[in-house]
Amino acid sequence: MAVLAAENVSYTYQSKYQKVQALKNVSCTFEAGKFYAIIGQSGSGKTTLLSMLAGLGTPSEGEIIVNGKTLKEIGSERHRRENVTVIYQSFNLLPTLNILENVMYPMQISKKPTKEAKIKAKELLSSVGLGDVDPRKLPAMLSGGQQQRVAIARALASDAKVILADEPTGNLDTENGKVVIDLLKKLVKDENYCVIVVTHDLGIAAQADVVYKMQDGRLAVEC
Amino acid sequence: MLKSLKQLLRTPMKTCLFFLLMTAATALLVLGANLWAQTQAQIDAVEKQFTTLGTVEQKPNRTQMRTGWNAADGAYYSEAEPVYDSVISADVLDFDGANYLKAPEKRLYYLADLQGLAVRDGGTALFYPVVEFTPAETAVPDHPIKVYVQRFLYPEAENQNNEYEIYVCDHWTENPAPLEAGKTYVAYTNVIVNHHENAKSSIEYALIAAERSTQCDAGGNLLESDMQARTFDEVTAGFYETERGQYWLELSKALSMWDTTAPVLPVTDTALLPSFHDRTVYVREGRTFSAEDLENGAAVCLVSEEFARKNGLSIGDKVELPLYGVNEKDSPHRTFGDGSGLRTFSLLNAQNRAYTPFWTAKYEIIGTYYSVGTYGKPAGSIEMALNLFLIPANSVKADFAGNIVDNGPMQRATTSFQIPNGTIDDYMAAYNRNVPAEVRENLEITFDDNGYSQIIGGLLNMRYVAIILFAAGLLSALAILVLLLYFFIVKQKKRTAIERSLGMSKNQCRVSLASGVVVLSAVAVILGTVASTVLFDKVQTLDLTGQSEHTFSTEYSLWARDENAVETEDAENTGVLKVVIPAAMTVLTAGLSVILVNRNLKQEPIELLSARVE
Repeated sequence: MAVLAAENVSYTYQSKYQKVQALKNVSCTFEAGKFYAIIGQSGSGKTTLLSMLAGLGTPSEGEIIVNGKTLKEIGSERHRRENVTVIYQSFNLLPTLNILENVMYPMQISKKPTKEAKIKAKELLSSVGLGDVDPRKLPAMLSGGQQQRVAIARALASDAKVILADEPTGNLDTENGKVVIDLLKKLVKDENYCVIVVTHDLGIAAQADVVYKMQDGRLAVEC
Repeated sequence: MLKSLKQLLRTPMKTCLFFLLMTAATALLVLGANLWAQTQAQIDAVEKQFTTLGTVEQKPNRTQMRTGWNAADGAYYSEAEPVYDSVISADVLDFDGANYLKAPEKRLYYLADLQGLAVRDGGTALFYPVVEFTPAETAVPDHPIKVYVQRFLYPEAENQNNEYEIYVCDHWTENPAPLEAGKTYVAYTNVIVNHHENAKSSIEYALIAAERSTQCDAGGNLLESDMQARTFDEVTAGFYETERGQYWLELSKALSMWDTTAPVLPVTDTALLPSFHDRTVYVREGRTFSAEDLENGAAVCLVSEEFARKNGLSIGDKVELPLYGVNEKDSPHRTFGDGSGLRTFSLLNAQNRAYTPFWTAKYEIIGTYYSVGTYGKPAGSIEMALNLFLIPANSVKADFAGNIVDNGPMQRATTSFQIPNGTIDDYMAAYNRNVPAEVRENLEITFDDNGYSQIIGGLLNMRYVAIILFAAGLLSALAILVLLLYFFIVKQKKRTAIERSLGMSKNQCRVSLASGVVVLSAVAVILGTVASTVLFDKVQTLDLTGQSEHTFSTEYSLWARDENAVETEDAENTGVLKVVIPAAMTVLTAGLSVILVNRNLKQEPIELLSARVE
């Protein structure tokens, strides 16, 4: 069963000078335990589709379906809190919180007790290979790869089983990129996560179970 | 909120800088506001306490010389006296642009015969007797000649002295008629020091010409009297039944009344009296007239402390005031100022009769006034007098047209008006514009604002400085607030987007971002307010005694009596500011914070979060 799906999703927004139709009648499904890649040229609508799936935007037409329910029924805030988690190219860690606090943050939003959140955050940091790094360090004190791994740990801190990753390796060198992708694949394999990666990198796409190709706002090919 | 604060404190330099700047700006703002409020309260108090009084004097058209004979010198003397071609009415001051608080009034005063009360100290009787005498020998009284007193028509008390031998002289007549031995004469005399050569006594009784009536009609015109100006009359059998004899009897009666006469000043408002205006006279015990007293003409009066003390009177006592004369020329001060009782008007009417009361009523003493001076004599006053009664003008309800003892032009002591403070120039401009030049050249208007112009100038400057301080504080506080919000909210769009992507609700995002800023700002504002208030209070209570006591002390000030009211207003104003300003600043911060966070929330999170890092 699809844990996440887009049904005839279109999205139009008003840019400074004109109306732009970023998504045109896009339909796709995502299942647990699978690694998905969405590829396409810049401006093809990949990131817009990702934001619709993440509940960060509302489709002009069509529906986002989550475990059989529409996003409208669930509510986008709850959807973001419980169903999906997002990893970005630019990490988007909170610069004024140390890495432990960054990982604890989603759990605190979910009102998880601080002590419990702290223990789990440490475990998560260890699970992404940052067990040896001082957790009191601020994100700016880490390398790009380490920051992205903190971002993954933060993503794992929520109860969501769908990880949406927007160019997660775009800001990393090859070696660190590989580490991150391996980490995501491991989550798919070991913990039945559904990972959806938006990427330009065909090497990453080659490792995906399913690849969607976007072109001019349409889903062109399912590979 | 704690997480929000925690995140703020992760940028300690920036946070501390804004905290200190906000504290300083608020301190400046509160200081300016306090100073402004205090200065405004002082200005309001000054506006309330100070009044601007205008007094009017009609200038004589010219002076003329009056000559007379002085027997002691054997020569003529001359005196200059003013001449008025006409009496200008106070109505000429009712012109367009005259913004009066109290319109001009020309005050008259009444003469009240207060028999049984101590009015004069010793009186004038001994110096102005009406005496019947017989010359020791026939002589021309161009020098003091010895006569034997037959009796005193006035003062009658002198008749108890026997064997009276005095020296009389027709002192002011150049060629007096002879006085014959064996005949009896009656004369009105003035006891003066004998300056004649080879004087046989140290004093002489100088004969005074017949007292000519100064009675005027209601229009101010002098009424003609047929009294011939003679200095003495021979007393023969039946003389006192004649018109001439009646004159001497009426004169003696009028002089007796004069000994117990006190002036009564009817007022429409004590504020129009120059002495009350400059507070050299003020009610110290009891109360002054209420608006109702003045409006309804209540039978109430104010008396001097000295008069009340001399007569054992106290507040609540009633005094009967039989009013028999009306002086429309001078102020009470002219005749009664120091108690000497030197008259400038006649006590006889045009029919050569003593005046009779036209209005008698009992007046209740509601207050006693104090005159700055010695022994109750008003020092420097131009209108107040010893033993002066003040009554509401409307309380005299009788027609007094037949009792006007004199009339004359406006004088500073009798004519005054009140205009709003600070409008002297406007008033004079309107006066010069609207009153004909021929009238203006005969009038002199003098203003007294008790130093309002000087004081208000300083206070307005202080208020100007306070407003600048306040504006500078406000602008600084707003600028710092804007920068604070820019750095901690506007520039935190991405943080809001991250929090939203992590599942925070919009309200949680608002609290997360704004609460820390609001708390930081509120603490800074409260600290700034407290610091400024402490500093302000410290400056207020600085003990400057010794440094400036000789230049600035209200201890002996006539104005010090009303100071408490001003201080109370100050305290109330600054007390409110201590709460209002921090509250307003905090509400403003909270409001702007929420508005700006809402703007952050309107931006699509994905636009911010998916920004590519090159």
